[in-house]
Amino acid sequence: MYKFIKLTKVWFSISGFLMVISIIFISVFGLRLGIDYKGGTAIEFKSDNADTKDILADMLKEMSIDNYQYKDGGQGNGILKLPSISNDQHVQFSKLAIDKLTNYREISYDNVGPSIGKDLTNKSILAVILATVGIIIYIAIAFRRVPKPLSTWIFGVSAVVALIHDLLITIGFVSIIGFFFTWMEVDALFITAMLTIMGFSVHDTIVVYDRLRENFIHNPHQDINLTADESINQTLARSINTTLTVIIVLLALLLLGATSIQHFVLILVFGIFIGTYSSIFVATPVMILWHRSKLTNNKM
Amino acid sequence: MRRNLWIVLSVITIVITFGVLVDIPKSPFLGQKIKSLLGLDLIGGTELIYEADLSQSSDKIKDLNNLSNVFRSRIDELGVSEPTIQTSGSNKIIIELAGIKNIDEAVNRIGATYELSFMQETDDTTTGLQLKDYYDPDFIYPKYWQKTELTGRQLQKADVTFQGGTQNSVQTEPVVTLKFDNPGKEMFSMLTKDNLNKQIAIVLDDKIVSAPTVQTQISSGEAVITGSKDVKEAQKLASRLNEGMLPVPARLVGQQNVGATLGQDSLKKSVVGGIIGLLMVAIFMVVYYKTSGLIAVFALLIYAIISLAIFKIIPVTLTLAGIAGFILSIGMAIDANILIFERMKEELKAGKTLNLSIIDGFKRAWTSVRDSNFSSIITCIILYYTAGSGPVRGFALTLVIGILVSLFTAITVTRTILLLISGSKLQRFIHV
Repeated sequence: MYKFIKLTKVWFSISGFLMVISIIFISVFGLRLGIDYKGGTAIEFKSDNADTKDILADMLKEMSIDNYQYKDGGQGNGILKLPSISNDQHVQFSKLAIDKLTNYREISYDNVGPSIGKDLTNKSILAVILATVGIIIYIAIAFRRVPKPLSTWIFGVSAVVALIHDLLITIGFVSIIGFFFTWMEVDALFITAMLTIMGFSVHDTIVVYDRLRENFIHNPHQDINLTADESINQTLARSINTTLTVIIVLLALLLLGATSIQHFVLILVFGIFIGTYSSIFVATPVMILWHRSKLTNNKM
Repeated sequence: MRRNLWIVLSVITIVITFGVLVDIPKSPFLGQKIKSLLGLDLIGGTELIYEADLSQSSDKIKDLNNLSNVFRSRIDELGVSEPTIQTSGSNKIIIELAGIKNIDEAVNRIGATYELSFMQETDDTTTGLQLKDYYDPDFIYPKYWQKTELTGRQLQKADVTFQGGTQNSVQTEPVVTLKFDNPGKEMFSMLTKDNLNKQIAIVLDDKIVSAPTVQTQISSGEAVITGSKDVKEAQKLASRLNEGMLPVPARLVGQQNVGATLGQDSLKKSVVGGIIGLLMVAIFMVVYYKTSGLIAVFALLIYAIISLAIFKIIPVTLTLAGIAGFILSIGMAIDANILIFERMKEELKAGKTLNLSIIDGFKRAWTSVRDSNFSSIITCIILYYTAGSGPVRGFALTLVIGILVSLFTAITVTRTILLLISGSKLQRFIHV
């Protein structure tokens, strides 16, 4: 049996380090906001020209748009990002492009007005708040009957600590990847990934806590550290196997699936991995530490 | 005990049969609609988000619905098959047009502010307008027209009624009656007085809906438009007039076009990625959990059949994110089985018989399975209701359906089959 609880300090150092790094990444690099949030236009196209960049510069000058970004995707593919343009401007752009670029084809066109972006931001904030509250209430209900001296409250808050740990490190990951790669953008799917990771993180934590509660009821006078270690060990095979299967399918989707959701799948892979990690190395040690300090306080 | 198992097994078989019947492309139930299950990002098309300016509106909900009806009739004229048009929030309308080719023309057509106006003839060929017929765009009226102060704003009501044409003394000629408000009554009276024995034009979207000849001055504020071919045409005219009563300007605030090739490419890649991932999971399960793993994989197959049938029945639009949600929920389905098998292993190690290990393993793992899946269901429900946009909703919906179905298959299907085998001569083949 692996002694997890004994090494609590080690796990906390690792997690603390990752969280600090994440905060640094987020504050230094920030997040690459997609047009879903800030509004704007993205045009993905294909042409047979080698000097697309210069031709585009001329075209946009003609349309008096000077605030744009162009990314060459290789093999004639390119993505152009502009401030939100009108339908007429889009028509004008397409005409110019067909005229000046050889064999121009628009692959996708995405235009988000500023009001939509604001809408989405509000909705996302609401979703995260509701999900957090919902999960806390849910854990409180699911663990309402824990035998004394265990406390419902400590289970719930420890699970949320693990949850914040997972989200923070995942956002840090998104920040650093977004710094190097333009495709890692914060869009509607980013929030979806975050909420999914929340669900999975709590899912994993509950499996371990459930076992802990059961073992405690079975053997209430045993040292709580030992009970916790037993519980983690008993659920270890399950945790590893489940995460493995989920990550196998997601990796297949990441490597072979559609490019437009690859960033989403990558965030999920990372977040689900961290979620499993935290259910073993964060959620339970935090809970035990808290539980023990409460007991010592009571004795004094 | 065993009799109950056989009953459960027959129920499962019936559910599977029904599922397969729904799933197959040309099924007797919902067979033809499989294509409409795919979202825009998979078949190509365009999504338009319009924001209505309802600042002048007294009944915002009604006006927004009116506007979406106007959009619908315009899209129908464009000949787009199966468009989705839905209102979102207090002032937005989201339109999805699958497989449309000429997007820019469609955008111009759909988004134009619809305005109803009453025009009179003019001899001035420089400022006068030449107008097309509303129903027959090839027909251009020979006369020139100019606007009057009377518009749809003064119109109170437009209805279909019947008059004249005695056939067995029943009134059979459908006509459209108009009713103006008080200022409109004055204006209409002046208009008919000035244009006696001349044509006036009722114009919607710069096209002539009807050009009746004024036979007498009308000061009652009520007018009758005759000459509709049948009831249908009269009804169409009346609804156009109703739509034009309050012009709600709408602005295109969001647009997403996905080329058909990109969509097909995405679809192909997702299906290939999904299938390969699942095959790998199946191999893992069989290698690690042996015959039990095989049964879990079988349960997974049933899970896929049932989920797809539900997607088709509801119906759920499958977007890229939706497919990801579906694939993710398969992970959940597997998780339930893994939890149970691990528990069975423990019970077997503790020296229990196979049959008892299965029963206890399931019983003990059930609280974990139920409690843990619930947290994901909560986040899915929140995602579904807060996210207005299609892909996020699709993801949440497929994931939540997947979780619920997986609970059913993992518990019922795997358990029943395991118990049936464990009580029979085949039990020596069961390994966990």
